[in-house]
Amino acid sequence: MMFTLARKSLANRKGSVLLTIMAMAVSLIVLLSVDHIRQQTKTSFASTVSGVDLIVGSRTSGLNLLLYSVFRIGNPTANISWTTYSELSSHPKVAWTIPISLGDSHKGYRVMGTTTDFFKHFKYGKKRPIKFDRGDEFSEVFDVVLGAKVAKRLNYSLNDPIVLAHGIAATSFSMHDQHPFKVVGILEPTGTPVDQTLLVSLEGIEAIHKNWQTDFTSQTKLDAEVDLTPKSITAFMMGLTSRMSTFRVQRSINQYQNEPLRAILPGVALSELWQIMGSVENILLLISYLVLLASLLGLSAMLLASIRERHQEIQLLRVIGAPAWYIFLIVELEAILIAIISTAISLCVLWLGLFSLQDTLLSEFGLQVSGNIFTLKALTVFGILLATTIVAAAIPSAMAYRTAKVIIK
Amino acid sequence: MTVNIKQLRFGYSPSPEDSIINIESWKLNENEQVFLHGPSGCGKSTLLNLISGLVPYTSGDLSVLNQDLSRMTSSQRDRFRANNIGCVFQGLNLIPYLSAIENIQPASRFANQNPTIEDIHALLDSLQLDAKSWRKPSSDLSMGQKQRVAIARALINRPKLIIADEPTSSLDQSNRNGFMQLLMDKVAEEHCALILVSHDLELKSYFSRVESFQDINIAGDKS
Repeated sequence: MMFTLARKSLANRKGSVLLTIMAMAVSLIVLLSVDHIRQQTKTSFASTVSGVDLIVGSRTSGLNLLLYSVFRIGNPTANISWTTYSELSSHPKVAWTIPISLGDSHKGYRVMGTTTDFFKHFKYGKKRPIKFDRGDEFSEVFDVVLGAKVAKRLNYSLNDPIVLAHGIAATSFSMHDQHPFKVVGILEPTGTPVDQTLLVSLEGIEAIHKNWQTDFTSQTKLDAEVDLTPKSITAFMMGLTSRMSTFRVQRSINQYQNEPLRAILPGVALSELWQIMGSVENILLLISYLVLLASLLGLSAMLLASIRERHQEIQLLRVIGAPAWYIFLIVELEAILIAIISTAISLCVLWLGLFSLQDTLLSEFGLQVSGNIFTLKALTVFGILLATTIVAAAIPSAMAYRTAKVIIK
Repeated sequence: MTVNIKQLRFGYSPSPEDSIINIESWKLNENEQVFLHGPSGCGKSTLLNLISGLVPYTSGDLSVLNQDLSRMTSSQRDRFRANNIGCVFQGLNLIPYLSAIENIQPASRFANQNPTIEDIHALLDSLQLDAKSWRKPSSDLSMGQKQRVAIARALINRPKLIIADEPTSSLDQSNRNGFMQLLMDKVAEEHCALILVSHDLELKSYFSRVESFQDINIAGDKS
């Protein structure tokens, strides 16, 4: 009966109640989306690279090196010479290396020059290997393997020709149109920046930057007589024979005499990133909680105003036998119902929003954001919301209780 | 004895000079119907609030259905009122967004009596309320229909006492007569006592016992 009274009383004041529900739903959407995207960004970033012990690039900040080498965000300050790379990769403690050569693009998607070791050693998530959806690794100079998103978005299939552009702008006027590449493989989705990357051989990168318009064709094999050994690369990933030697190898690279280098541990660089992001996150969360507080105060004000309109109703309930605490509980229940409806609306809107923005977040920001918003954290937020709603409604409820006690005068 | 008052004094301020109610002795027998008349503001409604236990009195004796209300806690008085006293008020006081049935149900729930929906239907039927209006919001009911619902709500728990506080003050003459006839018929049928207070002296024709409130309330005399 209390539920019916509360529900019908709210329905009777649908104008103000609806506005309160909307205010609370919007504040919850802000809070939950900030928190969800924050968590998902961390998960997404953390699962982008797995099993890589060190990332080596020219001397720059660890964060910059991590961002451009793994997440394709920003640009390198300088390149590493091929000689240095060859020397370091033949270090007895080094098990494997994946060279990375950046600088070109195709319709806004980054092109990464590498070797077939990328397909062998690169892991993401929980040491998950790269898998092919269709086709195979590149074997010729002008072969290209597409990330899942590139193939889907640009509607490419095997054997399609692709012309790379010099530079990384979405619109480029400097095209390598003398050397079109051929799609030989399309990768399965990984939820990492690999999905938005075009993978070509280092020789392919070298070839398009040489002035070989006349004597070099797209059919040239990798083992052709022409020397396509690159002079430099952007960075490289490194796997060691033993984790125990990580710091020793890192130190020796950082102190390398022939070239200024920087070796970073991906996990440590990510921690630096979260540290920098931490204060921004906290400010965003604080703003979100303040917005929620404002909506709770709005709820309290709406209920308080309604008590003044409901003297007759309260008097009636008292006279037919309702104890004063019953009136208190009806107002609390009304507040709880508003909170539950707001929560339901915010969850639906957030789920739909994330569902429709998933592709944009992935393509624009490289973020794999899950639509699953029913997490333990979300449950905690709802617990907090319910508790604060009860507290916020305590003032109008107490007012209703007092009205019930003294109204008879 | 339905109501027995001895030397009852009550005022909202602690000073005896500010008493609103000062009744030496007053009684209401079982199945008796009394009409108390007096001008507005003379304390009639306060007496009804004291009898129904909504307001605790400060001194004297007041027993309702042989129960001393001063010995009860606030929640016991609420329960006692829900179980034994039916109330009809000025303006009939229905909750406008609830249907006729929903207006009646809380009264029985607070009394811990759980009449079936059929019992409520039978009561509304006996009050000649059209079945089509049972589930309409009471704001959509006519004044005559509202009167019937208000009486049904007062009678649902089969109370031994009904108190009516200016129930006809907002009714026109035709509705007033209809309401009074219906109320008196039902009170007689249910064998319950009735205290009706009003400033409208025309209502005295429905009662065998008519008293001026100022005759029984000495405090009223002082003022």
